[in-house]
Order: sequence, then C-alpha cells, then structure tokens
Amino acid sequence: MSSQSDEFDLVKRALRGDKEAFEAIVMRYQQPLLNYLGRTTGERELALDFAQEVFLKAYASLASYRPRYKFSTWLFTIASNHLIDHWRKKKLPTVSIDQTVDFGDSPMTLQVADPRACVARQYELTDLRARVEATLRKVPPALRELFVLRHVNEFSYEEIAAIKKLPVGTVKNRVFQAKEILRVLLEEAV
Amino acid sequence: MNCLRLDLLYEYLEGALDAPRRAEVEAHLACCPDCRAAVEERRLIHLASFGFPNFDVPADFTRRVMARVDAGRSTALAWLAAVVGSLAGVFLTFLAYVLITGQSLIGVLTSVLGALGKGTQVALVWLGKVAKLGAIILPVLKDLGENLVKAGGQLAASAGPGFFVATSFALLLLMVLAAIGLGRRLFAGERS
Repeated sequence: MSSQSDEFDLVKRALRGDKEAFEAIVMRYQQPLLNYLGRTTGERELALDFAQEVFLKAYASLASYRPRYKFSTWLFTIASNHLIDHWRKKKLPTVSIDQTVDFGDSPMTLQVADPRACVARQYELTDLRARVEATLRKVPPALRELFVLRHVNEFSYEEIAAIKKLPVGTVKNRVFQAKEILRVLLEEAV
Repeated sequence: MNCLRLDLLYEYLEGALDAPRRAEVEAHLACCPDCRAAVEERRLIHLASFGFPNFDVPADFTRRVMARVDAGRSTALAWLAAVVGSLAGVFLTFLAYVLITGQSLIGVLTSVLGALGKGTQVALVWLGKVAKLGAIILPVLKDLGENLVKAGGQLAASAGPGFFVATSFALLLLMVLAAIGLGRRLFAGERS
C-alpha cells in the first residue's frame, strides 16, 4: 500500500472533481475490499454489489476523510458498517460493541488435555487451508469478520480496533475465539 | 507456570510476546506435552489461516463503479439545478409581484409569512387527525388482512382447484354485470 500523504493527495484531487484520482483509489482497494466482503459474506456476487456500494458511499463522504487516519482504515470502516446494516436487515447476530468475550468464562478455554486426535496434522497445509476456508463460513458473522480482517486483509490488531471502534484486547480475544471455533468445527467435520 | 491460556498461546504463536514472557512459555512447553500438542495443532491452523486465494475482480469492475459515480454526480447536479431554479423562480415571482402591485416589500413579506404560518397550523392539525385515525384503522386493517389470508389459505387447502375456477368465474361474471349496470346508468340520459 502506498503512503498516507499519497492517498490524501488522491482524495484531495477526487474532491476537486478529478475522476482519475478516485479511479486510482478504486483500483488500489478493489481487491482487498472484495476479499474482505467475499470472505465475510461467503457470496461473491453479493460481495461485488457491496464493494460497489462501499465505493459509492466512500465517494459521497470523501470530504469527511481526515489524513490522521489511514485511508484503508477509513474505507474498511465504511465497509464494516455496510455489512452490519446487511446483517441487521437479515437479523443475523452482531456482537455488541460493549459485549466482552472473556476466555475465562467461555467454553473456549484451552483444552490442553484434549483427548481427540490432532485434526490439523492429518492434512497437508494446502488441504488444511482449503478446509479452513470452507469452514470459515460456519463461524458466526461478527467473529468471522474480525478473523478476515486479521488473516485475509492482514490488518494489525490496532488497525482492526480502529475500524471496529473496539478495544485492542477485545479484538484479539474475538479473533482467537474465531480460531478456536474454526478448530472445533474442523474436528467435528472429520 | 500453569498450563497456557488460549490468549497467551495465540500471542505466542503470533510472536507477539516479549522476550521474558516468551522464554517462560517455552520453558513450560518443554515440560508439558499437553500444551505442546495444543500449540502444535493451533500452529498448523494458524499457518493455514493465511494465504487464502483472492476473489476474482471482474475486468470491468472499476468502470462499473465509475459509471455509478458519474450517474450519482449527474443526479446530484440535477437536484442542485432544480433547487436553485425553484428558489430563483420564487424570488422572481415575489419581485414581479412587488413591482406590479407597488406594495411595500416588508408588507408583502409579512403577509406571505402570515399565510405560511396559518397554512402550517392547519396542516399540522390535519396531520394529527390523520395520524390518530391511522393508529385506529391500521391495526384493524392488518388483522382483517391477516384473517382474510388465513381464511383463504384454509379454504384453498380444503376446496381444491375446482373451487378457484368457480370463484374466478363468479368474480368475472360479477365484474361483467357491474360494467353493464354502470354503462346503462351512465348512458341513460343519452337514450331517453
């Protein structure tokens, strides 16, 4: 990704009506945005529609972008809000901002004496990745989204916290929880 | 050290622990086969969680987005033009009225604002009445609709397709008769 000042320059040019500047922004972010929306919704066509909507929303509110944030953080915040609206309409569960996930009280506490066979060792890495990819669709949407931001888009926990407006610790716990759910689902699938 | 908690385990796998904490975890792993097995399994899933293939972006995706951006800009400009045009129209009408009638600007403004205020008052009263009426009628209509749908469903389930043919035929007949009746009533004057 390019520097923040370069992106702010593109934003300023787009605000002055330079179409090519916004086109450059679209070209730069279409792949990461589609990966995020596609992995989170699990539907490519829907993700393509959403990606278009997100770019249109971003264009309409370009004037509100401030260079003290990374452009990617700003754009993915719009995308995340778009997804939350979609889940609310579909009445899918979203995790409240105030809700905390505490491993100490959850069934996701590390089972160190797990008697089950290690499922991951049964596959080559490529096969395991394909299974993780397929199983990800079964992880609850709100946790799946954080997993995708971390592992597909490779944002840092701090960046995800800024996108989701959550404390860094909460983001970490939820990503870890998503991975535990994935692990359990992979074991159940064997 | 006790067995690893999940958050500590994952932070270890992500290389996010500082050197003393990392050494502590590694010392525990050296003597705890359960934790070693748990770390090993999660390490493999952790590795497999990166490097998913990209979704294919259609070749014309950027063009489609830009076309919608252009359409949005045209719509916004059209709205702006409509608003500016309307305001200009109101202003010119107002100016023409003042010039033609020779009334004072303040006098016309006062009477226009007064009329607007009265109109708003009347509109608010009517709005309140409509809202009250709606609050009473809507639930009744909703219940009626639901019951009609339910009754229709039950009737359909028990009567079968023959009933629908008969009902449709009866309705059609009723509509034809109503049309004939209406026609006679409308053209009664012309015939006599």
